[in-house]
Amino acid sequence: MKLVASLQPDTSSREIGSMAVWSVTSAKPGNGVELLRDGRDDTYWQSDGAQPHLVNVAFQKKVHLSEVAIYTDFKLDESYTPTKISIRVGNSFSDLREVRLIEMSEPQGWLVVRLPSEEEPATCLKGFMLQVAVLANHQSGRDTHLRQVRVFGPRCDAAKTLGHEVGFTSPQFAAYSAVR
Amino acid sequence: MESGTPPAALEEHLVSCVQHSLSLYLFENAAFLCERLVAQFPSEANLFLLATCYHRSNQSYRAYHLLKGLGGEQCRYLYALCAMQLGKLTEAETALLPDNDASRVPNGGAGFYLLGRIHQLSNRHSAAIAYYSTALQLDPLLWSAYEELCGLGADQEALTYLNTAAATASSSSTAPSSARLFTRYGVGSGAAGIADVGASSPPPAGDGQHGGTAAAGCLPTPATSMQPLATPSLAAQQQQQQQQQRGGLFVSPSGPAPMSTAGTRGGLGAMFSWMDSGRQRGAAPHTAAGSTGMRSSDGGSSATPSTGPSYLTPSPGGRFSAPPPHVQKVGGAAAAQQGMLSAYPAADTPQPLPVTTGGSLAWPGGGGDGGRQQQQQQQQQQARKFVDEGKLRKVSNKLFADPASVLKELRWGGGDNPHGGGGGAAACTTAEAAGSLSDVAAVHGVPRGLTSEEGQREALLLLHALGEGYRQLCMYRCQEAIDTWSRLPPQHYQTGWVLCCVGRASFEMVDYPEAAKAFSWARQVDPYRLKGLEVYSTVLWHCKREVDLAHLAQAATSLDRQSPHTWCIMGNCFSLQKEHETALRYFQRALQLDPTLPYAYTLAGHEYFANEDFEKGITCYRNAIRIDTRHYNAWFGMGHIYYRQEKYGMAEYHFRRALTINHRSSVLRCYLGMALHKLKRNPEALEMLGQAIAADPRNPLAKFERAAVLMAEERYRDALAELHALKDIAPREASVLFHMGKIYKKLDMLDEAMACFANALDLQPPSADTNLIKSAIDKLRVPDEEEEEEI
Repeated sequence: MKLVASLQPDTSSREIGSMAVWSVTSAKPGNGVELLRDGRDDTYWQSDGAQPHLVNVAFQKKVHLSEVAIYTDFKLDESYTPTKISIRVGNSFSDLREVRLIEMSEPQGWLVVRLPSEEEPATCLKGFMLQVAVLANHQSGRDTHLRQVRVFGPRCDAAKTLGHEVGFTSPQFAAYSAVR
Repeated sequence: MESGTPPAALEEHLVSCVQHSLSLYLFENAAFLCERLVAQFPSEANLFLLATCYHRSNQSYRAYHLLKGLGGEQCRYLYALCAMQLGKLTEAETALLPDNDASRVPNGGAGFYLLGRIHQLSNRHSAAIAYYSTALQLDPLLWSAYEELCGLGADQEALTYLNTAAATASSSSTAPSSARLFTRYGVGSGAAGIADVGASSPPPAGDGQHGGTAAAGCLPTPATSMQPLATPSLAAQQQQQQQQQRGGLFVSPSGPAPMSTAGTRGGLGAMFSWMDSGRQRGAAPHTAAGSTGMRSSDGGSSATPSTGPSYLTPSPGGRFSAPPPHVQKVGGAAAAQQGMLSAYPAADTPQPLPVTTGGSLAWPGGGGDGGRQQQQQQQQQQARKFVDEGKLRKVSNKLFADPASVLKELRWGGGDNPHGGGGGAAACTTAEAAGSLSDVAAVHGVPRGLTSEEGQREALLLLHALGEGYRQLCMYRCQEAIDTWSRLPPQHYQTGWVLCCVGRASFEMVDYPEAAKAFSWARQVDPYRLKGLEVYSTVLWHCKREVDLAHLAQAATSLDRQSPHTWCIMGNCFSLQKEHETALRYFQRALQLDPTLPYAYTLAGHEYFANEDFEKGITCYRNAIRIDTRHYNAWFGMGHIYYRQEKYGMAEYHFRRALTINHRSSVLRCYLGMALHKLKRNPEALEMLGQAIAADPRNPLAKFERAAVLMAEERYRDALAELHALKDIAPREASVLFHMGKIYKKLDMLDEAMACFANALDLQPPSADTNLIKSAIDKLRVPDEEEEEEI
């Protein structure tokens, strides 16, 4: 887990949040779930109910999940900033299990959480659903602000799509591997 | 309009001013003045002039609405052009081909070219091919038609045209033969196919042009509508003649052999005979105008038959038309005709004419652009009108007083453009004259140029070389194309177009370094050219040269943000950085700028594929194919998506389709082999992969796949041999070593297997693969069990 000021484009992973249906347990009118995905740091989702506040990301097919990135800003949000976040992965609402529990203190920027599986740290988790649960806020605030959330999955290698186990690296193979 | 009264003077003066402004590119000014002109003297001619002003200032929709319903030739032509720009193809087609009457296609070659474009855009490819061929027959220098013809895959027709061009170019310049040459474009050279075989033996006297009757049969396929023209045209000619004789001024086409004068017939023979006659007449003076030598006969007065025999206006193509009348005299000398001749030359002198600018381009040598033809013709007419002292006719008189003869004269006067129907009519003529009004002065300060037989030959020689190479490129015989172009003289070779084509040919041969070299040379030679650079960006993408691609993208955006090619380049740049969403946005931008660019659709499809959005990918590829059926990249893309979705039957079909278009591509064959392998048709797969390797021995993937198939067939030794060969080509490829290790394990040569795995690990492949290799090493001593499939 690391805190960065801005997300670097990563050639080994890609954002798969657009393939999912996003929903939240509660939202204040005018600060709905769409502001979580608008790509802007100055708009936020504000919850409006009891804790824990949940953000559910439901995919239509089983996907590989490699990272989750959450943008929060303590300076602007103060007591709305989450301090304890739980990331859960599973196949449905009833099937979620926690994979990461994160404690933060006055975060400002992107929190990037890797989601490896315990057994094989190199592979990715697979699942139909991912849930970001905000368990506690700074200064014991009730509601929370999340400014952005992004979900990443690994890029598939072109060679793997051809059915080979090991990918190609040399430029000669790359040149002949497809017609563009 | 009555002459002699102030209003008429006003009209003419305004027309002249408008023309002047147009020639000086002051379109707003011209539009304003023209609006005043139309307000006071609403006539079809003036409306046409106004429409031209609008069209020049990029307001095609205004021109379109203005010209709706007007029947004059030039009006119809401009109307069709505007309609096409607005995407209204049916209306454009009706305007160009009223009642499906091909004799009334305005502006000959250019009109047919527009028809071809319309049919191509509406997916009627065989008709489009026929129209392009016709256009080329009428105007052999109409390069755009030739390009589209090749793009549609009409190899035969392109070859025919090239042979014709070659024959024309190499023929001698004696008058009769030249007459023959020019008239029968298709026939003269004996080119088969479309050429009017019927109209063979042109009598040396120049009657050769005639061949009308037989020609009727020679029309190309969709010519059913054209066939019936044979009769009307003849009738029209005769009618014309009579009228002209009456009219006196512009004499009918060569007196003695009315048909013959009509001589300039293209391969389409009779159909265009009357057009030719018109053209002929017009051309004669035209060329006369061009060449000062011509002047000799002109007296500016009526009927001084000084110039001897009637000349033939070369039929093929309006542009190319008039070889110097003196030379191309065909058919009997008609005194009348000469009278006409003489009349014209005077008229055509640019110099005395303030409006027709002193040096306008009479005949641009190259590719047809209907507008320009029209321009010239109008120039001619304009010149004639104003300078034609001998006749002492005012433009307005000629326009609106209707002796049909006068009208016809005016019409023919335009010279190189075959005008609309003989019987065509007043409307035609007025429009014609109107047409002549607009765009008279083509370009200030540039010499008008002079078409001549000699020039035509040289031009055709040049185009032949270029065209031959282009044809081969379109058929994906890339090596031959490059060889053909390398035989060009260096000053032509080192131009943007040729170098970009050479680059593209190298690209199709999967020779990316060579392609990159050619393109960068092209950019040095012509740094402001954007067309064709999207292929360069793909080459750089393949070579993974990020810096160069970014540089190219920057350069392109700073040059022209309105060009679809720029956005394709930007999209490729971002795609290389793996930012597929952004790349998609840029490709969509390119498509907004030009919805008929198939490559943008294909690239967008590739991006969707990279994002695993297969539905949208397939849609994009389908769009690309809808626009251009011969876009093999899109066929490949679809096959690739189906392969990925494990629909191997569909994949095989699509790869085969792609192969029919580009039968030399090693990558396509390799993929087809892979699909066959997945369909469990291993012998065919092996054969196909063998062909892929033969097609391009540098293709490592083909060898690799072949080894994989051999492994699946348990022919381990053979597979090993392939992999060893592959190791020499691509020594740093971990997967090759990995597979070799697996084979050694199967063959129970565990030490070699271990060595291979260790080497593979040394090459430091990406982490996921490392684990795989490590686990393979661990399992070395353990007999193979089936590996679990990853979902």
